Amino acid sequence: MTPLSTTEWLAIGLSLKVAVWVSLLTAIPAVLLGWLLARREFRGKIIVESLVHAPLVMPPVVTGYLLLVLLGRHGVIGQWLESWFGIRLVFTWQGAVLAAAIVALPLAVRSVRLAISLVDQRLEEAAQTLGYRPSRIFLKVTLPLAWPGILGGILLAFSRSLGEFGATITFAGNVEGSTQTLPLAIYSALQVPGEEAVAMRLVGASLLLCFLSLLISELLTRKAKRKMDRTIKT
Amino acid sequence: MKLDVDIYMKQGRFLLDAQFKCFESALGIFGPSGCGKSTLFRALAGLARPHGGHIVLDGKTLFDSAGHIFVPPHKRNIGLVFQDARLFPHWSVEKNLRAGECLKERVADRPFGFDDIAGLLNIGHLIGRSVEDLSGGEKQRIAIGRALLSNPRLLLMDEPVTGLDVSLKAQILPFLAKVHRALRIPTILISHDLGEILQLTDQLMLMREGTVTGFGTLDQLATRPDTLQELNGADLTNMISARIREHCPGHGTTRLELPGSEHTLTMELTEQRQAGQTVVLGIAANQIALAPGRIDAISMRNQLPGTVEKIVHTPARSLCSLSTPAGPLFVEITPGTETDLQLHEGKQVWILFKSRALEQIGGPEHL
Repeated sequence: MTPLSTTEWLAIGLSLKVAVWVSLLTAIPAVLLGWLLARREFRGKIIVESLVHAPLVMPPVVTGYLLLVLLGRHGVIGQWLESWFGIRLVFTWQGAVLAAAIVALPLAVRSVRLAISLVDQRLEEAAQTLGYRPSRIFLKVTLPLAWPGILGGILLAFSRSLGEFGATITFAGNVEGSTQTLPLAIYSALQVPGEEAVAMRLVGASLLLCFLSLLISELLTRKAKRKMDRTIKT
Repeated sequence: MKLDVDIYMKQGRFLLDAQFKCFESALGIFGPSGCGKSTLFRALAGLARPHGGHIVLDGKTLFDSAGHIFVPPHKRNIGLVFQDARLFPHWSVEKNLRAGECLKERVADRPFGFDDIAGLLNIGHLIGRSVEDLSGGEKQRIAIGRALLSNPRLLLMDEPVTGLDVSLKAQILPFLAKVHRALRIPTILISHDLGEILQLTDQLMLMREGTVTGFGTLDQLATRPDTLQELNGADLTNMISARIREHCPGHGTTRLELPGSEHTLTMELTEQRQAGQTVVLGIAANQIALAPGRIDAISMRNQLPGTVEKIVHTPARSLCSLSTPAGPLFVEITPGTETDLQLHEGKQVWILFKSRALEQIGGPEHL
């Protein structure tokens, strides 16, 4: 197998960059939403729940199209963003991050929600009687105990955005070097006759990346599990 | 403690409707499981919100449905020791103990320090350990220490020793009374074991099916038929305080003198206490026999004169309260005994019990 070309390296680098940004961007919203859905009852909870989870079941291309309608150059929010702040998301790598983040968020929220709902609420009650206000309980008790699941959720978002295709190509486009992530590069290579070798190399790189991120996630989960096992015994 | 409670609370088909005022420094709540004791505690601590009424502690309104007042639990400054210790598994023993200390304003006026509590509860040697390596009794002691170190103005203890075996109970119960006397933190203890409560206080509140059915000292409650009825199922234990006079190694027994009396008691003391120390002994009301006079030819070594103060009947049992050199004592009797001995108020009798029926509950006292 020949070494990768600059364009191919660019695609791999961009994919990783997008995935890291997605992880960073989704972490806090995922934790807050996961906690909200696991621990609070409020009016319109079912609507929040549906909105957060919608990208999980919608075709990614629909998510991308909706983003385009909202945040495109002539979109409701997009127009405003551009005229007031000079921010343009469509056809930029930041747009690719946003598209992938929206698609990956529900996966992270689900993991976090499960992790938080598994934290023994009796411990939170005990903290209350010791004088801990709700925010302190969240930071000192809930978050540390739910940490393995939260980390798992963020890793899931990372892996999901590595493979994001539909929403990205619709909203961010397929611009070599700026929005052409690995899956998009593979797709482009497959469109051109004679580029099968390039496609193969990129597929190999993609498989390697997926395998690595799975391996890291598995190692972290095991570590977390051991911690949880010790926790359960007490 | 000045506690004024009048709350009602519906939980499915269960209704808690409790009214009481407590001015004592310690109170024991006694009742069968499911009578609403724990729900009452949750309402006091603020973990559950009653549907109506009010809770006022030392002049501060914690809850008032009419005034829409509900002080959240973290602002109530009420410590709660749960039946399950609820230690934080991700923290060390020391961090658990100091969990309530990080709130500076709450512990600023705390009259005791970390080492005082560690000493009182005998947990100093556990500090370096991890929470998962503790036994059930050790965990519960850490939980009590954690609650105390948060400097509560009222300490609630919800069956702190239930589920622990007898030896573990013996490990914890004496500490409760000791801590209460040493720190003077108002305490309410829930238990379905009257003996446990009596080690801390004889001020009792009886509960059944979500309502308060009796309030007062054990003496008061046991001498009224309606409240004695509520005490059914409780093994009534008399507490006697006595001073060790001498050990009789030949007989394997110890002689103890009753304060202000020439009468003595004989029992088997498991631990070799020094002569002159005062110990608290328990004798169950159903382990005492009555006789018209002293009986010399009998294996019951302990015999004391007594005067019948009152006889109370319930369908399940009859209770005779007597004044004796060992203080007021309850004796369970059958209706036959009453007629045979012609028991009536003011009658002089002798009470008899085996030395084995006496058990050491607390002491010696250093405090």
